Amino acid sequence: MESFSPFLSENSLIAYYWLSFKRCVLTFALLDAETSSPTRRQCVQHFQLLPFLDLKQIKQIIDLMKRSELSEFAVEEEGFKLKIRRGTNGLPVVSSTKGSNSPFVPAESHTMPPIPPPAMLHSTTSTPPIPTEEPGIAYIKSPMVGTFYRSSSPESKPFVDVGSKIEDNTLVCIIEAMKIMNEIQAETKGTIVEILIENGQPVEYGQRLFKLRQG
Amino acid sequence: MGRPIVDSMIQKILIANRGEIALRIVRACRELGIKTLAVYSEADVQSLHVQLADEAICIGGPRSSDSYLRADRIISAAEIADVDAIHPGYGFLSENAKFAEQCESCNIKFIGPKSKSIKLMGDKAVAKETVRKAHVNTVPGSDGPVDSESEAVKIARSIGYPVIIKAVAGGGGRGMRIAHNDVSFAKEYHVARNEAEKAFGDGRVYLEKYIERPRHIEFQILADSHGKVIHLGERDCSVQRRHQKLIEEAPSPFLTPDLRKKMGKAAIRAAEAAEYENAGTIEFLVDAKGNFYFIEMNTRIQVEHPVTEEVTGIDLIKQQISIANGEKLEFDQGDITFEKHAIECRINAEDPARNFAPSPGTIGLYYAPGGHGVRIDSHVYSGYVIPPYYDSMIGKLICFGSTRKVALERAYRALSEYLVRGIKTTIPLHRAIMADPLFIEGKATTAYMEEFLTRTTPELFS
Repeated sequence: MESFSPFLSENSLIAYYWLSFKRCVLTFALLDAETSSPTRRQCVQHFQLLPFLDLKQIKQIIDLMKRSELSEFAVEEEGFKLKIRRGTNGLPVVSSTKGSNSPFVPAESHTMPPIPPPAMLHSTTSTPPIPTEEPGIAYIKSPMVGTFYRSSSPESKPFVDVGSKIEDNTLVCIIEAMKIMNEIQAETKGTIVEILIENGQPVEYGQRLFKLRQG
Repeated sequence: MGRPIVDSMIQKILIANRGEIALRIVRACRELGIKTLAVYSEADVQSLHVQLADEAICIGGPRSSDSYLRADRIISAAEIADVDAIHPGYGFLSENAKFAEQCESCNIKFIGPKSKSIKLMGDKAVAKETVRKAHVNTVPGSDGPVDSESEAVKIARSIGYPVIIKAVAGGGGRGMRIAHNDVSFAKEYHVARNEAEKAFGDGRVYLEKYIERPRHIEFQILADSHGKVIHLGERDCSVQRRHQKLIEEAPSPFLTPDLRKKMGKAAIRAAEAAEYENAGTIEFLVDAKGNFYFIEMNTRIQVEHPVTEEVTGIDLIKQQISIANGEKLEFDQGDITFEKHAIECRINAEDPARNFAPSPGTIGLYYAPGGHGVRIDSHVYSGYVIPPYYDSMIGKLICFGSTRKVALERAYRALSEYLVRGIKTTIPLHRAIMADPLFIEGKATTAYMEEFLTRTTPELFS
């Protein structure tokens, strides 16, 4: 099995994709922008495991990735692990490892000078926003710059919680900008699955506030 | 680093701009030990200054109207990041009196003049009236906006054709039409009004005598908040295409020491009439006989400021910050000397062989020239994607030397080394101008560029 240098792209987002290529366990990884360490979550579906993949099948996977928005594909089974991840120049990079993954940036990468990124305002991903492929999941994003509040006052209950069902005109939060309390409406329908910002945290334009399951 | 920090001093600056000027400001702040906050649009995530700033906040979508022109979001960002001052750069909100006022009322120092000076000089007709009271020559004209076509025609005849019709709310070369006689005047008058309404939201126009083949010579002003106003000499910006500057140099090959002294004094009087503080520029048109006329004041730092920096040795951005800090200017007029000759070429992502069609896209290999007397102010790098939402300038090449001849030869040499692959740029055009005998002679007026383009072939630019 050939092995290539793994190529860690910072701020990659989850993309998982139903492959018609059966018989493998799909794993997807979310890379936390701050620590760049993957946190693994098991995919929902399991398929029958293959004993191994040959080069032809790997090439098919790479081709599939190139033609889609998929950013990572991994196959794992006893004694064998294969991961294909999208590199920063947009092309998939293959790695096969028998031990631990130690991603490093190869010396030939020069899209940007190696400068540490600035302290972004928030701890989740920074832009460019990559369209998420998670089916049925949507995000409510901040339409302005300001401070995020979950309720109208420190004593009141939060407008919404995890599990809240929301409509287009549901008031989900307040963003305070220049002493004005702006009421933010959901502008989408669904159920909140995660609240991404803490009460009183500053937010920037486009920052994800709530994760919800649509419908 | 270096200087002791006092509570009242500026310790964190929000840079309300992008591209090369934002990078320029980050650099000055770093050297002064001042923290920087970059506000940026979604199109500028990979921008160099965003990466180099201490903090960064996204303020909107790619379009300027959804980001860099959003005063509310910028001030909001300033508040949550607790900045002491905002540097507006040039363009965008730098000459927006309302924005300067908002900063003042939010207790954030606007690095520039007071909002009332911006307002005064922002109305071109009022600006002329103001400086005339200070005995600064202005171009003969309508003395204010014209109320009707019939009044306009009368004034045009009394000034004498050709006349230029300018938008009161315009500036930077935009919203101007020229009429050579009564017949064309009627048409140009209405076109100018419509364009002004569309571009600036203000259809008022005023008239001026059109001076043929003038030189555009501007004076750099520095004024502190303690009443001292000095000038740092002139820049000759006659090489322009459609009123957009392409090349600027200092000193002007046309000015005599006597004329320089007269114009410098006039520039100071004009700035004082506006009760000016911080850095600004007074623009004049100079005819072949050496008569000079005030046309407008730019109440901001300008694109071509590096030319003055190299000739005088004074860091203008740092001066802007010290003035905003309330410090006194540490030099007098007599201390300002002009040691060298400097010339700047604005490098745009445009194809001179195809009528300057914009050329956005990804820069492949980027190699900037270097060596003695070469300065590059640019935010681009290999692999950088030029967004299509903003102006096409990708950098400035400033070359300087002990004489004009050295500066020109150096510019020619540096332009020959300058590689920007993957897009078209105006580098070959600049190189051709550096080698042009008429330009080398120092005879360029504002008519030069159009005339140069008619006698060169597109092949010259490949």
